[in-house]
Amino acid sequence: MSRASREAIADTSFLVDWAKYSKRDVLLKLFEVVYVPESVLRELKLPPAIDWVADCLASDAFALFTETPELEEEARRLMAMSRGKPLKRIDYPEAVCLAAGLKYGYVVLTENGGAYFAPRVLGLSVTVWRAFEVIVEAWRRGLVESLAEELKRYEEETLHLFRRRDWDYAWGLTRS
Amino acid sequence: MGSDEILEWEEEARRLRRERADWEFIEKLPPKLKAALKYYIETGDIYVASRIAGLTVGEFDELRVKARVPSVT
Repeated sequence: MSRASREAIADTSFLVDWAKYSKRDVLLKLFEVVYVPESVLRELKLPPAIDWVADCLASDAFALFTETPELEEEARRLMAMSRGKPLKRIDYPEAVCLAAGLKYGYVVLTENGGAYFAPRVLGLSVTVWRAFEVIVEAWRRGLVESLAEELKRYEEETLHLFRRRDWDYAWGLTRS
Repeated sequence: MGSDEILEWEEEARRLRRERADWEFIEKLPPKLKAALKYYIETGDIYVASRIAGLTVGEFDELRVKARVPSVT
């Protein structure tokens, strides 16, 4: 996890949850830049997500990512690959992020289950993080104090629940 | 990563969404929004759910929170 790129690309499912988190700016300390595809930006209309993303774009912590025809073609190829696999379908916004992650080495930030499992099921060489992995990384770098408290805070503030296996993994980390 | 683990993951997420949802609130919604939330509860797919509702993903997420449906990944 710690060897990941210093650049990331975020999809809507990640941003709408993450923007509600009171320690959301910790993301800006983990990455030099977070790209936001135009197709993702079109899906954000309400605060806090749109306000936070606009602020981050203004401060250059985020950058707008414009899809090219080649990237869109790759995204549609990934969507087709996901069909017929034991995998939740990957929708276009997540597929764009995966395609960009593959092409440019960005860490893909998503809460889409299909995109999360895609590297393993489809054999893609791309790093995919959910809020869980972002918070774990922040804890490893000393940006948050208690991993368990932070995960709980995130659950409460965003109405986002982590899986039992993730909690077991987190408990294992804090005990070791 | 086996298909069993993915299926187990999906089932756990679906169960949490079903259990935590405010069904009284959901049942009172207009048909389009109700159908979209039920789709989301079953699949966790916010993008398609937002399309069913005729909303952006951000707008649908607000509805999800009002209906007390957790996102689970």
